[in-house]
Amino acid sequence: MKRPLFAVVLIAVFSAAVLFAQTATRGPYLQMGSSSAMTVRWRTSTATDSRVQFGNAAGNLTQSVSDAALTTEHEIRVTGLIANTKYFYSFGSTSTVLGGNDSDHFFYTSPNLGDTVPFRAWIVGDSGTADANARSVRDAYLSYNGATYTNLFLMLGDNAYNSGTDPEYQAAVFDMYPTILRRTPLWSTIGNHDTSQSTNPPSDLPYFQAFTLPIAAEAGGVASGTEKYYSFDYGNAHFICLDSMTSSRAPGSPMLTWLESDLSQNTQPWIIAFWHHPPYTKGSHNSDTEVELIEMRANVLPILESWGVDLVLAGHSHSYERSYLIDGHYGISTTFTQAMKKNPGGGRENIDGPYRKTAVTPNLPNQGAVYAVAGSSGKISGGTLNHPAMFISLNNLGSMVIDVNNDRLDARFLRENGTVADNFTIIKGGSPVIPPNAPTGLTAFRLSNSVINLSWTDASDNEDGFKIERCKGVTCTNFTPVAIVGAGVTTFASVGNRPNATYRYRVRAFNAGGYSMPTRSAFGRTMKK
Amino acid sequence: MKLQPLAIIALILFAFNAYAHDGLHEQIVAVTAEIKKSPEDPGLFLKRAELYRLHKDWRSSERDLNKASKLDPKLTIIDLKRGKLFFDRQMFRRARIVLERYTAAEPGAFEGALMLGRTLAKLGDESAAARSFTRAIDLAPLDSVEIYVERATALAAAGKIEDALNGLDAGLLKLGPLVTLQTLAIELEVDRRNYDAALQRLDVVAAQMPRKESFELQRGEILLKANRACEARTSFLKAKEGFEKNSTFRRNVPAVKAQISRLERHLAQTSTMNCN
Repeated sequence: MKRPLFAVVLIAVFSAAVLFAQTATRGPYLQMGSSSAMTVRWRTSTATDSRVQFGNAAGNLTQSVSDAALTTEHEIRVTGLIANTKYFYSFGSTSTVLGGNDSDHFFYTSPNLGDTVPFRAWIVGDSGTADANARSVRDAYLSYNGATYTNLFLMLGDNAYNSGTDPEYQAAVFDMYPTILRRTPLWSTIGNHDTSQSTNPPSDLPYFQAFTLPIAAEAGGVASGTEKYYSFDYGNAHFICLDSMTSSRAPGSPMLTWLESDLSQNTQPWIIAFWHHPPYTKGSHNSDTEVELIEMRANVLPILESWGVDLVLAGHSHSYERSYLIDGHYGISTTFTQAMKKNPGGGRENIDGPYRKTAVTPNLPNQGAVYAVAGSSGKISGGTLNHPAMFISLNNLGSMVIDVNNDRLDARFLRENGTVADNFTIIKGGSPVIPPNAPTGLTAFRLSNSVINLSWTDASDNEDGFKIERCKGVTCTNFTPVAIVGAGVTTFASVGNRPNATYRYRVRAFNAGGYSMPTRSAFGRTMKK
Repeated sequence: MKLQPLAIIALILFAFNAYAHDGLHEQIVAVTAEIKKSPEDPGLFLKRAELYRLHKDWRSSERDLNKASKLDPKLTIIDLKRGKLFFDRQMFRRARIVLERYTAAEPGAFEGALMLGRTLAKLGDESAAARSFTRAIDLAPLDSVEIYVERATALAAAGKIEDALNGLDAGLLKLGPLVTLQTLAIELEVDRRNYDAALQRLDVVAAQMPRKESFELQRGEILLKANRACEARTSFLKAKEGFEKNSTFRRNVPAVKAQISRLERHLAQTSTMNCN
């Protein structure tokens, strides 16, 4: 009879051990990275104390930070770190290491304020579907990124559908991006689905429970006193996160007062702002009709633009929409004018040149910003996608990748299939570039029933190329680009025209400083069939 | 089957509205499907009423609230939902009635206190609003800078400047030295001509900031109001020194331009003074 009793005791002890064994059920994930500190968070199945060990080599973690409080929500702020340095870490309790101390658990601290160390940010918007769509967007980025370190991970809100509950956060954030979350600090803004549409969210809102965001300028900027909106510095860039969902967006409101103060104290050349509701969109939401979008555009953009914001990121519409380099558009879409385009091109280096913010008017604010809606990291929902401020609008799944290297910012929209569907470059600093003189003497000569030959005179010596534009009809004005040809080229064969039809052409020279005025238009009529 | 013209217009309007609030529309559809499965669940009607309110479909929201109330007449939260609906419709008197009933029934409910405070402020009953904001602050789930500002604004409007400042100081104590609270406090101190207190507060803000020139300008302006023109001029000269170190870019920022313009005016105004 002794043996069965022993077996029962053994099973009971084993079961208790399994039952009470501490396991990590969430994380680790990194928050509020700065040049001297990093917050490591994780969740465990049972309440224990907390300890993070860290050091400059895996297998040799020489320092540690502990917290004796028993909890399942562990949060350790590691301080006294050296800027722009790689640290390995482990996490657990004072008695058990739950994970880490290997080549998979590490982070880099931010560079010192103002340092021009290159960095990469990955941006997802409305990613909270926790499904194959989100996985495909994630995998496309991991594959594209390869071994490059991702310095910043930005979430543009609606991180967990449908109501931002804790299980939804687990599935859509912590189970979806474990690799990047344990290596790269995450910075998030709050979306309407994160608060379950509430503008006065309750105390146990999972968004605020899950994230540790700056309230006292822990990573740079001016203290906001709230995790709803905040700023932080990374090298030579200043990031501003605003709350378009639960905070007042009115002029003179605390958020806007803080914003002005924060911008007035900024010393970094790059300013990147992000929030959930886009100021310009014609995707699954309409920035002409929805109050959050209208107020952010009318009240926030004038402040940001006057202080030289470079890039504004938002989600909400489940599409990718990216503007020209624009300034001063605060009304509904029908009030957008061509004059608001600081550069009428796409900002693509290999086609029509990057956006140069000092190219036209040196050292002045209001030189333009690019506005991107990147809300298709979890689903696409279409829309008319025809906002006139947008250079490109796509109903595709994807995420954004931003690389900043000194005075250059490269941004890409990376689709879920791994292709780059859009890219643009902004360059700051350097000498101003004067746009080229307009070409002259454009003539059009019909060659066949579909081809019209063009020729013109090159009137400048500083162009990067010429843009040929065409419209159909004698009195037409809706010119669209036909082709771009290189510097010094003065002829072009326009093919693919309809027989017996009249076309109107014009040519403009361009360089990094922008476009020249167009030539006087020339007409060509194709031959009959 | 022929659609009537009115029905067609209604359909178009609904489609436009639905398109404009895609996320809400999706959720309304989802909750409606849930209601079909559980038509006796008042929680679902409350949920949909809230979505309809956000969608600005007041009638549907009210209809769902009525339905929820019928299903469970003891649900006190319906008063909060009605209060928010009336507030959005700018029917502040009706909002007050239901919100007062709600806060009496649920004195520990943060959102009720906050909404009642906002409603009372809209009705011009600032003292009562401030009391409600105080309760909201006590119950606030998150450190909400906004409520401190709303309370101080209500108290100041009621002429209770001292109380307003005390409230802001409580916020500063709790939330740290926030520019949003200190800025309002400085304005209130200046309004009541307590210039030394304003200057002290300004020093606290400026100490945290790397760029001092705008604070020197503000210091000078407060000193001018206090008839301490020579001290003011010293501050203006310090501000000038600071602005001169600004980049061309900064000097062209409209807000900075306006400050420089004010500074030049003040410097000219104080240039003939004998301050030795």
